[in-house]
Amino acid sequence: MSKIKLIPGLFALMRMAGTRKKRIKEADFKIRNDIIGQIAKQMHPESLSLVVHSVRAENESVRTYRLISAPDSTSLPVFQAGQYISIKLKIGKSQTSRAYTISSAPYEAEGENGYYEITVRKKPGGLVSEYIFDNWAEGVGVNATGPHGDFFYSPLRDYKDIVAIAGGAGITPFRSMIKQFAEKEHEMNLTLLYGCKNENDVLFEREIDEIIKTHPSLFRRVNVYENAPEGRPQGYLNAEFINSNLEDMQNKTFFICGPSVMYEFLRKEFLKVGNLRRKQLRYEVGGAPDNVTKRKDWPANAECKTVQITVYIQNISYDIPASTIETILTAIERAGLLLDSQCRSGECGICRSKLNEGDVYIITDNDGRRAADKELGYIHPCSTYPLSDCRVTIPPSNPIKGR
Amino acid sequence: MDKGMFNEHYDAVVIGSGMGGLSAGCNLARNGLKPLVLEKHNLPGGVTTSFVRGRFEFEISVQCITEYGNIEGMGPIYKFFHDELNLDLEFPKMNEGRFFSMKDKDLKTVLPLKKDELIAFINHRVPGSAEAVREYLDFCDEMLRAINFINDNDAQIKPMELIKKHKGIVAASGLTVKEVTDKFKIPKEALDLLDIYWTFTGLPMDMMSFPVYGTVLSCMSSTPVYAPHKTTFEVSAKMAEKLTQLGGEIAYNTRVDKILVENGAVCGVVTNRGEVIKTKHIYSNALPHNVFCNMIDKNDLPVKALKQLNMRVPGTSFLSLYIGLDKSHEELGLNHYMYYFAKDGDINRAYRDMEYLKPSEYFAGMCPNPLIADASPKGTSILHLETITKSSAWASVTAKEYYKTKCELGGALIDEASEVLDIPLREHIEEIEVCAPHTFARYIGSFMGNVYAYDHRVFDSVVIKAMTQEKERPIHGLSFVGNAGLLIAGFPSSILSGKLATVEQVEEYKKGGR
Repeated sequence: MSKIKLIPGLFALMRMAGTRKKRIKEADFKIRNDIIGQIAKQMHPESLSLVVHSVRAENESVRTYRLISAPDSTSLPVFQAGQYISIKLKIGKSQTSRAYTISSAPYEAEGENGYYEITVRKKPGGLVSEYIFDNWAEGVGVNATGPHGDFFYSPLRDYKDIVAIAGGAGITPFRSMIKQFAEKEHEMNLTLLYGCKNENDVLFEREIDEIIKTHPSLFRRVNVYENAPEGRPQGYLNAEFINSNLEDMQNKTFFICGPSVMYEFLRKEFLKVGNLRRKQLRYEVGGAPDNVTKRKDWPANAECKTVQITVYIQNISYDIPASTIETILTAIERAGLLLDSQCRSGECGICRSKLNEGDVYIITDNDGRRAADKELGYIHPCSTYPLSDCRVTIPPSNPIKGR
Repeated sequence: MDKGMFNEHYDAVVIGSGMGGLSAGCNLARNGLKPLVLEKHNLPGGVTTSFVRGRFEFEISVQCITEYGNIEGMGPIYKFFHDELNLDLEFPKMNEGRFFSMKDKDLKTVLPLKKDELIAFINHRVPGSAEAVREYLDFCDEMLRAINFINDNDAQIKPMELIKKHKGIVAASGLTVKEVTDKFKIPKEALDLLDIYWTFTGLPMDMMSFPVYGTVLSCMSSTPVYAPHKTTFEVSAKMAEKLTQLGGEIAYNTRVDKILVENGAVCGVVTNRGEVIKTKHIYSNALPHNVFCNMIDKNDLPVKALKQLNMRVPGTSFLSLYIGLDKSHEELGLNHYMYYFAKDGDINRAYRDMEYLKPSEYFAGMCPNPLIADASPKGTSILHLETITKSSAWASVTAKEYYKTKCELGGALIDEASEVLDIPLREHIEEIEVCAPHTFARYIGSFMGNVYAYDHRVFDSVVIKAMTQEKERPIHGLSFVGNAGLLIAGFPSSILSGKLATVEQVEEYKKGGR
């Protein structure tokens, strides 16, 4: 015989059914406030409506744009120094995006007069950077998403001794970190090792030097130039340079940001630097390479040619031309189709799509695909190149809000 | 371009592609109906997913899978996945016990998995408890059998039949866990060893509905337990693939902004892009709070819908840590798949503490590597630590303080686990992500970032819900699946909830009407 008897149990059940009825009767019919949802939206809004506040030329080919929240929109979301925003642009019939590190500090984004700064280098022939240089001026509206990205200091993971290795315009996240650490944190030390082509290539020099002067115990900077001006160190960001500027390698986290050729080179150099653990090295993602055919694992038999991609979006399909040396995402954007993207480096997976048929080349450096997705033939089109005619199913995307 | 992306009309629209939504869609499609699943995110699965950081892929939520098997053999999840949907999935079976520590009692032990061994183990520690514990666990098994019976009969429960075949669940449905355990006269020390699963249920024993808790306990002690091989994202991704193969459709990046209602019945939805899609059946994986507070025009919303909503007690969310370690589990000594950390046996205090932002004294851990050798790259391992939290506690944290707060609370869990296990975890963290209620709010959009929709209070528990669901349905054609479905919260129940909710429409269709 069970210890829990049916008849008293039935009475208890009826009592509870009565409780339910009573609770419903007595309940109010107000709409409940979802406070957590509101804070989450404040931190991660669906999109950012920004306005160019001012433009500052850093040198002939680099400009810093100060962006503020558009009138009637909310204040800027909090970010971690090192994160980026994804700028959404409509250029001709292409809707595209580019990831730009926020080069200003998190504390500067606070409050009603808060701002983000992004620093853009004009690439000859670069669709987006040329568009920005030609069109962005004070008062121009800018759409973006973010802040995004994992390239920032984590107190649970990283050492307090930070070595920042920057190549050229890769200094932007470190400007943000140095400014923030100087203003708000005093626990972290940061040594900046900065590789530049020549004197003109150096960004934010005076500004960073001033912070270093104020906090000499926290920050240090050493530049190295490919073509050094008189009296400055000539050379490359290599094992020797890194070794000569650090007493030892232990208990340090290296944050590395620069062009992809620098990463290829540094990965080899770090092997010579000594017993570094993988957790000590954190590389920022850097977008698609300028010339994919120069990559070591680019297939030897791949031709540079035009292929056709059949793109499926729910019930509709389109046949579009594509080049084997451009990403599938680029082909889709050029055809005027919408496909949302964010990191454009294979990592974040926002452009996740399914390859139904076709040969492709995938850059696997920052391959953020999940194991099951690899098994099922999913790709991240921002880091995937069509080597033959392909059939690809992409998700619906949402058009940029018109401004 | 938006024109023509969707058909004008579907047999059903499913809001959200969590386990409940995907199983609802799959069950409809399998039976010849045409469902459209709309997912606001760019991936299927809701919290049944994973994410990649560096060289690690982290499971988000599910530690283990029960009800894949049952007491007799293969269970309802296996039947659905394998026999009905023909999914190609791999779930390794757990063979080792669970690590359990109770700090104040200086207790560190491994609880056996199998019922007989568990009873013997408890009896060894608490002599003379065997008989009471066995009787109690047998009664818990009755709960699981009854829930399986409800599943097998696809929710068409006739009260008399349930009383005839499974009177235990009827007898216990009005009772709290405490009311039941008091009857079995189990010594407190023995009960403490059984109550470690509290970490997954999160309600004091004198408030929690017994059939819900009994089912969890039975699953954990009497049925084989499995783990997802390639994380549960494999389940979501393969169900989404199956859905389209069976003729259903799924659209990502598509949020339902509005449910259209006519004469008290649903007639369609409007998406975030303004597309209007007609349907007479909506299965919502989104919580009732999200639906009634945001998606339905106030004029179409009966007062009773909001009253029924506000009568419930919002559930719980999680503080979850996903940690990629740069040494293998053997090198570190992480030898178990599952870990439970408790301070003492005072669950009521632990429950009260959930209302405050302070380091949790009760939390669970999972290291997949001992069971799944390739869960992370060679020479590395993964540790997942999680504790339940009431999201209201987080409401006072500003966006600016948020990152620091979650790192501090997460750091406290790491330090506590390090101390108990005597492993210097912090030294080996290569990747880490800390998720709080806000993270869940961001990705799944659930009300207050809750993962378990509503507390399993006795008045809001499975049998009473089954008895009242038709009467309480505020809008014709609108059903809820997932954690707010008929069954209890959690992974297996969410899967089955989608199947259960669609049974009626499938039967109607088979009789000849759409």
